[in-house]
Amino acid sequence: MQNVKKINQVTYSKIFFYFFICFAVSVSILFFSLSFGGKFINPFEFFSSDSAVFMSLRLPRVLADFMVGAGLSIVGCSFQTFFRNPLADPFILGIAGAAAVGVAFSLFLGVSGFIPTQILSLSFALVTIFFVYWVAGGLSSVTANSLILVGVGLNFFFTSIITFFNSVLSESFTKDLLMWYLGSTVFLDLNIVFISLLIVAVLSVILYMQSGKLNVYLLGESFAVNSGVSIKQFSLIIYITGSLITSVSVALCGAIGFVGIIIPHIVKIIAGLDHRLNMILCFFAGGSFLVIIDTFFKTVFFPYEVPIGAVTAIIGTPFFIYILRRRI
Amino acid sequence: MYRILLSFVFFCFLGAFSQAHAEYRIVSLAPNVTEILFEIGLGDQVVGVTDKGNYPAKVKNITKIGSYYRPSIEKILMLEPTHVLGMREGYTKRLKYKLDKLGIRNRFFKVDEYRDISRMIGEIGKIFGKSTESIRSRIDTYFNSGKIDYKGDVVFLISAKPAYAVGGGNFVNDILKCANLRNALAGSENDFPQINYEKILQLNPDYIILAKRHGNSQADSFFYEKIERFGEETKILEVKPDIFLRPSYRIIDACKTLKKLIR
Repeated sequence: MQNVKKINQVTYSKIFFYFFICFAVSVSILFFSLSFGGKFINPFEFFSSDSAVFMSLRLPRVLADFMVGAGLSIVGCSFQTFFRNPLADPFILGIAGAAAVGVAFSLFLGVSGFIPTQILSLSFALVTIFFVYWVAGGLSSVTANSLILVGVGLNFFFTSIITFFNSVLSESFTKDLLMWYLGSTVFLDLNIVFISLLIVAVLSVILYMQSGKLNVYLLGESFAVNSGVSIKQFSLIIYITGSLITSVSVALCGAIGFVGIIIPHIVKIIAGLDHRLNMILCFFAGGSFLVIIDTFFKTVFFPYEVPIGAVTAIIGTPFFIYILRRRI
Repeated sequence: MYRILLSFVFFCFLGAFSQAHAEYRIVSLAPNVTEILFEIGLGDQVVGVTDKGNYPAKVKNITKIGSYYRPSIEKILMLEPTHVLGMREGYTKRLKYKLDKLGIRNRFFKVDEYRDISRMIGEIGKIFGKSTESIRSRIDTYFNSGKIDYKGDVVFLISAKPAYAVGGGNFVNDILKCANLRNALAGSENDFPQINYEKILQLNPDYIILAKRHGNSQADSFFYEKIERFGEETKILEVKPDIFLRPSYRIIDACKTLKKLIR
């Protein structure tokens, strides 16, 4: 009942207010982070001074950081409620594992070029989404539990395939795959980033449209059913949109972990349990978090490229343990 | 008419002069490429190298563009290179894609056997208008002599934990041949296969060569702990990985070193 009270306290004016504040803060962070890197570029000279560095390197990278951080955080937020598991993250359903197997196959087959590797990785992830859904019971009898069980099982399967490849194939293969696993937003083109950011934003809006239902679902499945929520439809939307966002992020930038777990937890601690509010906060906070982390490390360690996947985990792990300790 | 002829001759000279003193700004993404560039007299035109570059000693003073596996494209761009050269492995697909998009002239080489090293040196020379005949003929003299008088079987480990060995069809295998050693794993399908110690025991080679990497003492002690179980007939040799595992003209030094070690 305390949860219901907390949820009812959030008004639409408060949601709009937070949305605009978050939007403004995120745009400011994105804007100022474009100044940092190898050398400081004055924000008023972005287009005039070093346009190649700005347009081809910094802008796509910062937008890709935001896209991955925002997408994975909002998915993590909805998955944690949907699966009723504080440890649920966007990778729990085996999407990252499937994408990694796609990359491994592309390396194994010697597929040349960057784009074909991404396409293969995305294809594996998409096939896995539908396979998990089908094995978990399909439209007729799918539940959150069956999805998570199938997903975790498949994750083990994919991890085993990767380990097997690593053991049997040569050292360079292992290195290539490790590099992919660590994640990077360096190599994307501006047009690819724009398209993927748009896709992630649209999918996030679809996911956000389920925020009210997630609030009801939080109070219990039977409560949700009695309140008129179609669990099958709701599950399908949460699962498909969440998995699609994850697939796009992973296929383009690798498995950047922890952002999908830590940001939702921070937001829930600060903003409470109302998904109408905390999904918005997760989206902007997650995106801004990854932009700040990547900008900080690329500037401090320049010219060394610190893999963003490793950095988020370094910062994420202590916080994750803290969260776990609080729950225990 | 006289003036026109004089101007023509002047511009011809000017053109020839500027061709001979063409200023390149080369970024080398691989230590072996850096070594080759210095050897063919382009060292003073190398403006960026990765952190793995350590030969010749002058390389230490050249601007670093990041690590071998993750060079900074922003740093490369800031150096305004005329050419970026590297090896076709690791992150290079993505890197090449980005360099192409940025309009930076780049070339990534693929090396398997020693012939590819010779070819790569030739291609680098051709790009910058430098003669590489003497280096290439030196390599050929050592590696294409025709007669091999085998002195024993060998397993060459490039890493001890996990154990990765040298398979067939690569330039390290050619170094072993050059030093009159038979690679026990020459028939392997992979260039650098992972191998377990039981297999090494089964192969019972005359020599086990370990490319000892600096600061990897835990792996080395693990290696010796395992290797102690071998018979006394198997000799353990330690070599510096730089000259053995970098596909450059220094494979000649590697061959000489190995010959000396087994003598």
